Amino acid sequence: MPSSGDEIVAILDTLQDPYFEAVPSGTITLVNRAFCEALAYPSKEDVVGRNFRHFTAREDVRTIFEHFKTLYRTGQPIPPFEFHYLRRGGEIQVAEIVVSPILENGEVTGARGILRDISERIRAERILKQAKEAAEHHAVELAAINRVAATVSRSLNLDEVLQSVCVELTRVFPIRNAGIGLLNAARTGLQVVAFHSADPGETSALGMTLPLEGSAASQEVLAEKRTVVVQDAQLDARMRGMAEITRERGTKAIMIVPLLARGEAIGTIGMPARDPDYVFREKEIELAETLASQIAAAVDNARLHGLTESALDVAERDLEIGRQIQAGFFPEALPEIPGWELGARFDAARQVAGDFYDAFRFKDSNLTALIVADVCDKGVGAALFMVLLRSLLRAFSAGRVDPENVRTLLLEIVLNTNNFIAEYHGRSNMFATLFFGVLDPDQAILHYVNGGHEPPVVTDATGAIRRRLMPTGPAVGLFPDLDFGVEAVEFEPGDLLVGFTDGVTDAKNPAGEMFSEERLLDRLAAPSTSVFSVLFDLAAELKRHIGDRSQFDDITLVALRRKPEGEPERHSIRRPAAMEALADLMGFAEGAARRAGLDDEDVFAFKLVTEEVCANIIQHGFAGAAPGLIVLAFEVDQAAARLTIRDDGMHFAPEQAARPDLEAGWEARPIGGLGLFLVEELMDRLAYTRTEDDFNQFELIKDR
Amino acid sequence: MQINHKNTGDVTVLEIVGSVDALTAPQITTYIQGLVEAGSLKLIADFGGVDYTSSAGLRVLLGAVKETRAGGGDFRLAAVRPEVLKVLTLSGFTNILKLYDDAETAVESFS
Repeated sequence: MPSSGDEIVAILDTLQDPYFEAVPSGTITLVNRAFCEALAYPSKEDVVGRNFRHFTAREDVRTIFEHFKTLYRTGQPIPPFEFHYLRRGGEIQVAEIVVSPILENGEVTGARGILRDISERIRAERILKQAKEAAEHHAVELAAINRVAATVSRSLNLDEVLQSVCVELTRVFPIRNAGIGLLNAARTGLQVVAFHSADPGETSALGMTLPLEGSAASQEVLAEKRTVVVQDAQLDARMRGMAEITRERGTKAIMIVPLLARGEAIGTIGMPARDPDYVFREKEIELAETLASQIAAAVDNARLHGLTESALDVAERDLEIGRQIQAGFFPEALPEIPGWELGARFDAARQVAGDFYDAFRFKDSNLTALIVADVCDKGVGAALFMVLLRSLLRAFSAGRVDPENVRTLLLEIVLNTNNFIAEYHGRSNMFATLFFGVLDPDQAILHYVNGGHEPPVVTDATGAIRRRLMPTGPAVGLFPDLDFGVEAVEFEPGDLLVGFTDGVTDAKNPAGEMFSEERLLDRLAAPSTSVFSVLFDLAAELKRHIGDRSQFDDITLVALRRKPEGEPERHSIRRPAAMEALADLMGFAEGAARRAGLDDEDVFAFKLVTEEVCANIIQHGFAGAAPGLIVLAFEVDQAAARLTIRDDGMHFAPEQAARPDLEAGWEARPIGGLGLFLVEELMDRLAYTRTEDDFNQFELIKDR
Repeated sequence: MQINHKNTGDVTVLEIVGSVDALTAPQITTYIQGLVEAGSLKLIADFGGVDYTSSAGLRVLLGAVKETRAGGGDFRLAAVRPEVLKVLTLSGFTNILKLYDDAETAVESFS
């Protein structure tokens, strides 16, 4: 078959893949259009007549030469191999190349080949490799978290625990040794209470006290409560006082992680790198901090244990430990999402239970996770399991999320968590119901997985129930590879989501009656003004319902609301005009003022005026008739904070209230008559109106 | 709100912790009346733990002043916090009541 001729050339030009022919010297004799395009040459004349070597990346010249040599010697085609070619301008691309001989009368007279673009495949392979590495890394991380968690929960003997923890740390990180130093009572030094070196020849630092004075690095870790990595401990001025020790031991790169318990720095973990010039990676620092939080909790618990041993029996001590563990795992602050309100309330049961909520923003993203969960059991076991669940969810949520992959990732997070628990903790027979939502605030959409949890309620601005977010799968941790689905709910302005645990619906009053879901839904069926208002109202209702009966289960509430555009900060509550409601009304005004960022003095003022005005309404507004209603509304904008108090009692005439004589002596001062005077003194402006719909309305304003 | 008392010689020191407001006023009034009826007329209220008061609290204080002074004694305040002092000052109560920096000084003021 002739390898030239117009027809053949035309056919070759329709090929998508680059095609070439060359003679044994390497000179190219024929190419198709795709070949020119791949190499970025405008015409075939630029390519034909030049040596193939000219288009080959330097790294592959030798290989190509060998391949062609083999081809000419054997007359056999060369199986596909990867080939780096040089485009005009010097850019290197990769392709797969297949070369076969051109035979004439049994003689090899040349070679022909086809290049196949494999950049997509290469990219996919690279992503796959990265994903595999990330997964492996993750597995290592999780296993480490898991082992440390297991170690710290196994024993109450602190020294033993910390010693095993140091051994674990030297396995997890590329470090020579790990030493745990706790601040001494005088806070002048770190006493090394546990130490393990991977190098059996290294002298133990156990029992040494490292003076803080000589180590600005440790001081920084303790004061700033964050990890410090020193690249050269022998030269760094921050470790001047330690120079002798570091030189002796050949330490250069060292990571110092704080031990934080209940917000306080109680010590550090020092981890010198095995390779003195090693640069600790971000991931390693994060993992070290996660582990440190568990270690710190163990130290803290052991100290609590030491303090309370004489006073409490074992059961109660366990409860306290469980409660402490649990308390440490709630977020300190919820993320702020512009245009949205997010809130949560948690009231711990007398007995430790396993409720938890969490909210956090994904890395480099607007997407925000909102989680409510309830561990099946009660007691310290449930609290520990809650800690595990929370850590797993957080760890699996560390990846990159964007609005495109959010559903896949959400599913992965829940499935990975489920599988991890089922696989590694299957024998404990623990499981949890879990609602995991991811809010995309820009699209006003919440993607969620509901693993057998009480369905959260979504109401619109009028309080009408729009949707219940029903389970999309079973409870988490029962068996591996369970089937979970992802659903989504869109939010209109004013829409409100309330998530809860069964501690809410099952809360019993002294007569043994449950609060019930009906009552919860009923309570939500009113126009909501803010997340703060809704949560305050529900929590107060629950507290009233429970009365002096001891609370049996944790009570957890979370709420998310899309604010209508331009809505000022406004909180509102409605209560019967009765003395029993006064504490709620005062607490509400105080909480709303504090939430709005007012200073202590103004918060005090709003609490006081609420008491004065409301007590007056309660005592005089209904004069023996059945009590009506009081509605408080607290509003804040840049100019002022304004409290509006409305009631449907009798007409009130503030001008009739006599002004007290402040100069009068004690004998002459009447008992009473001061309330309204104080209100006037503490507010900047005050207005009273009888509204058209027959309400008394006080407006109490404080300028900002 | 929590209320306790201890005697130092013939002076009785009340320790109040929490809010002195419309909700707690009846309880505090009853407590003070009990002491007065039992013959304690030199009273000091240690307000170090009181973080809030309102006109209802002022009524309690005025009532205590009137009852103790009527019997020849007095009711004095100690360790009043700034936020509570502001309410006392606004209402002119600093002219009526004697205030001391701490309970010890207040006890000595009776001797």
